[in-house]
Amino acid sequence: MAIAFGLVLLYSCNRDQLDFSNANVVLEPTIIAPIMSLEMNLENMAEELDDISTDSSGNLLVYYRDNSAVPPLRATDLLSLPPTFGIPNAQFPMGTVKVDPIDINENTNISSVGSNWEPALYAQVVALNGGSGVFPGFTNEVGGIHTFPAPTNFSNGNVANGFLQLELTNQWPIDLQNVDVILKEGGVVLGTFNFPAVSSGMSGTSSISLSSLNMGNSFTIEVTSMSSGGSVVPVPVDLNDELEWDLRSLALEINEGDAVLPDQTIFNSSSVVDISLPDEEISLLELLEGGLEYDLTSNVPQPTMLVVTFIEGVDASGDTLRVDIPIDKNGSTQGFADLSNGVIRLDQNASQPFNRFTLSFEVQVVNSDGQIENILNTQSVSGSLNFNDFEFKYVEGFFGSSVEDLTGNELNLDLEFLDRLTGEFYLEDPIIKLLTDNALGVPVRTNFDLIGTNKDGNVVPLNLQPNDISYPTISEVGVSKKDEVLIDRTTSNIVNFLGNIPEVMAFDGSIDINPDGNTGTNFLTNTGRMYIGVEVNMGLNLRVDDLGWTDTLDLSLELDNDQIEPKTLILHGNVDNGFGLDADFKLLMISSASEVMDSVEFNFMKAGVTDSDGFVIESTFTENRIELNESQTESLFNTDRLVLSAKLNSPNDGVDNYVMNVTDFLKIYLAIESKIQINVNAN
Amino acid sequence: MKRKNTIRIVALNMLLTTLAFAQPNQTLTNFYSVPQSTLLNPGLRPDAKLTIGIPGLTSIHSHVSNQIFDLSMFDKDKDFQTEFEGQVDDLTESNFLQSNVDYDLLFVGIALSPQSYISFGASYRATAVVTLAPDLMKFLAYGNGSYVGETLDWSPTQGTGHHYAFYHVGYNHTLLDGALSVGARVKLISGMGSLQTDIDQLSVLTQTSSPEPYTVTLSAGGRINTAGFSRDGLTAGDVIRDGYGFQNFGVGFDFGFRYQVSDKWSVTGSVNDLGSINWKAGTENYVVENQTIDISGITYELFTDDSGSFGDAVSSYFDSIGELLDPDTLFDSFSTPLNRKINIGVQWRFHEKHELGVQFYNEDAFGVNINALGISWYGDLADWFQIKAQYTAYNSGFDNFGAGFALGRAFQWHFMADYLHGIPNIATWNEFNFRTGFSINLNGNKQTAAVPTESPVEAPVQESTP
Repeated sequence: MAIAFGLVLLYSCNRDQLDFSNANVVLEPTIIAPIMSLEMNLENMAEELDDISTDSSGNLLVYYRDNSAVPPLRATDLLSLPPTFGIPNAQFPMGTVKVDPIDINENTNISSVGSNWEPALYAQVVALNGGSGVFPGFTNEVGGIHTFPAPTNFSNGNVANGFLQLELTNQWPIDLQNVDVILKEGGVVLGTFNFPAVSSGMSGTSSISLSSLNMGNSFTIEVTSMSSGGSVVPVPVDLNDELEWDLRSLALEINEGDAVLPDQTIFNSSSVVDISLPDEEISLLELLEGGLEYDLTSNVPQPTMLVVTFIEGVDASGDTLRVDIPIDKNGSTQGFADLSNGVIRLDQNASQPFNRFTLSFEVQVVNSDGQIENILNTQSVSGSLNFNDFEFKYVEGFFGSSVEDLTGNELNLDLEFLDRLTGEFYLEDPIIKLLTDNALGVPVRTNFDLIGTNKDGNVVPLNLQPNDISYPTISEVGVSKKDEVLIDRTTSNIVNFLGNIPEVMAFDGSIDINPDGNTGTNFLTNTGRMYIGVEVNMGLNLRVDDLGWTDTLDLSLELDNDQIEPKTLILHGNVDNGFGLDADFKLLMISSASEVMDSVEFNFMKAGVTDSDGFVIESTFTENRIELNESQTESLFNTDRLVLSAKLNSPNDGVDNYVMNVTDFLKIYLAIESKIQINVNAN
Repeated sequence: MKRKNTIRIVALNMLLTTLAFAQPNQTLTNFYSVPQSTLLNPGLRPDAKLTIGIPGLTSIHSHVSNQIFDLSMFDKDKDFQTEFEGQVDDLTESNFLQSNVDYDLLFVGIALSPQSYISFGASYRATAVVTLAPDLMKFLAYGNGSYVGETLDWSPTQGTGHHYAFYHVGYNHTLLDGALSVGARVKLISGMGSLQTDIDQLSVLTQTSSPEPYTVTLSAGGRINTAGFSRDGLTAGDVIRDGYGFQNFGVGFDFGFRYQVSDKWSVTGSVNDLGSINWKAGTENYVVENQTIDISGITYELFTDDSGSFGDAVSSYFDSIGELLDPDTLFDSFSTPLNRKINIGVQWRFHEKHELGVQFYNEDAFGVNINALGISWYGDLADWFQIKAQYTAYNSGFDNFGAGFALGRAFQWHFMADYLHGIPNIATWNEFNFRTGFSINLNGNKQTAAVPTESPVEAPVQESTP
């Protein structure tokens, strides 16, 4: 037991010698780790950056293209038709009205007529009644007054014009000569009919004209004279043998009255309509949309139809363009007649061969179906006829001279390659192209400049000269003409303009429409547009001297583990530089309060060797060992972000040109070496 | 995440297994007079006609061997970094950490006749072996900055362990008029949990090549098999049920003999734990196919793949490295071998109450080969008291002294401890081993020099053969 106790005691002493809780358990391994292996060439850059392209030789271009740098100019921007025009107070009066023809008959026999003759004569004839004999001749005998039955389709009327025709059919056995008949209505003589000769069994007609008289329907005839040579040979005589009288009207028109109406046109006229435009002179208009809006009232006692015809217009089928508007009797109607796709010529009026077209109007009345209607001269169709919402599908003419202001339009170049650069650099042969894509058949001329502003606010104008833009001729309707206006160092201030590294290009000025006035027929289609684009084409044959390049890395290296503390840091950087650019780097360590905590500068790479044309012919290898002091190391691992800035120089300290080619490469290998203190039992 | 948790659980389990028994104690080996000795050599026949181990206290054995580090690095008078680096410098691939626990719950032995003896019982066993690659520890101590151009091979880092319950039946038969006694034992095993690593390759080379400075070539490949660890809501009851469920079944065999060459000389020999456990239930395999990558830093592609900011590119870069070690999870069966042990001994009973012996011990502990050669003295001082002392030499040390005793006969208590000399100097004490237990022995005959009982050789901890 004593031995065991001693052993335990010894153990306890040793146990006290060991301190597990307070031992300074610290490890300090030296860690080396590769952190970056970049092998890239300018072909990669050309593929990855949207604004970098290559020419046929593989030389790099900073390339920017925007086919619509400003809002496109639309055809409707150049021509807008008035929203409404037409005939606000249209009046279509009844005028004279054709009436249904009057046709009435009256028969008179030998007794009713002969009783008015000389008695002896009449006795001779009576003696022959029922037998045969020689009918005696007579001269200028009167034949009495005879009344027609009243016509059922005519009551009365103020006759504007027309004719009455009387037909005499001779059923007597003798020929008649010089039969004179007076026609009366209501006792008023309307006229005299004369029948010079009417053979037995034959007919004869006689007419009178009527105008400006009131006429009822109580017609009588008075035979004022009649003669006959009698018969040479005996003829059968019957006192009931008749003379047939048939009274008919021809083309009888009345202003007022009561009569049966037939189908007829009561109004037919034409009128010109002007489209009111300030400067534009339209000769042809094809409508995309629009129509005739009408609001008509009729007090005509019969249904009517107003037919509006565009004398110089056709519809989509090639037929004459017309609009039929039915109106109820004593009613009204409103509506909208679609004229879409109608084509109207507006140059057919000699006194004004533009903006004018002719309409014809007809008012048609439907027959009264045998019913007598009351006709008044105050009856008419009236209302408004307005053309609304005209939009053209196609239009020809001269659209006037105007100006479309582009000032205020800006083009944000957003060139990632240039955004990171500061300072100025020289480009050997840059080009800017104004790109136009024009479907407007109108002469257009640029009258603007481009103003470049860089990130520091420096402003340099391009000094762009006016240029005419291609446009389709009248024979090229539907064609959009593409054109390029080349702007280079000989025609502008482009070298300085781009050397300023503009972030924004602002338009200053306008484009002019018909700048030289009316030089020919313009045309527009409703879908016509004119696009103005810009292409920047900067061949990267450049000369730079301390050109700045900056990038911010949102990379916090702050360690959130108190047990690990970097004590030293060495950055190993090997660079195989096939670019024709030197680079001096500066690494800024930025705190979360955006303060620069520390920095380190180093020459990172030397430019590759270039030939006399500026092409890299040999790369340059640089081995860097950048040792950070304790303060820099601490700052690096407490940084919120890193700002890496570089000053770039083309070969020979920026004196020689450097042509960037897809074969140029850059290889950067970075490794970090750090002695790290690991406090294993730190709290 | 679940996979990582599982690995943590397994590692913690292994650590706790070690710590639970890593306490100062005595160790005594080559004690052979207790009846439980037949569990180590079935060729030995206990002298009692009936032996009953006290249930739950039949025999408890624990053994820990730490050949990797000692605790001197935590000495408050020493610099940790210096001590740590010194131990790292001395570390070799043959150093290992081993832990064993044997718990015999029940043991019964019955003499059927003067020639026949049968025994049976139930036991629990846990064993684990861990090796650490010296290059891995060098990396931790010095970083790769001190090994530019050298390959740091981490693949020797291995660890295997399992625990299981087994139910055994043994038979012993005496021949040649008692001169030869042979025996065998069969064990039916119910596996309870296992972790097994098979790291095929794991190395780091920091290159010196130009123009790319310090490119790191990382090779990895291998698998980790687990069983019995990944169940959700694992309870102690589950573990106990695993002890008789036989879902992970194994079989083991022991063979032994004792031959009395003359009155004074005898030879003994045994082979234990021939067999394996086939793990089928609750298995998970974390497999990394063999692969090698060069880590040269963030590449141009990471800058240009539209992944976002530079920070995103860095994260993507490290993710790609992490994917190298991101294992596939499978659910295949696997097997773990039992730790095969060989004991060979020669004994000389130079006096009625005293015997000297020489023992050779070999163990294959999951591929770690352990060899030991010891000499012992056995003293049968009284019918109720025996004592034994032993010195054992092994590859990594020659300072293993142990002792033990057995007290009582009908009711016997035995206690054995090892590595006694390490107790006064805990800072460098890396081993301990003890065994104790109780049994009831009826109708036993007093041990005599003419009929010695084979001394079982406990499992001395040896340095593996390189």
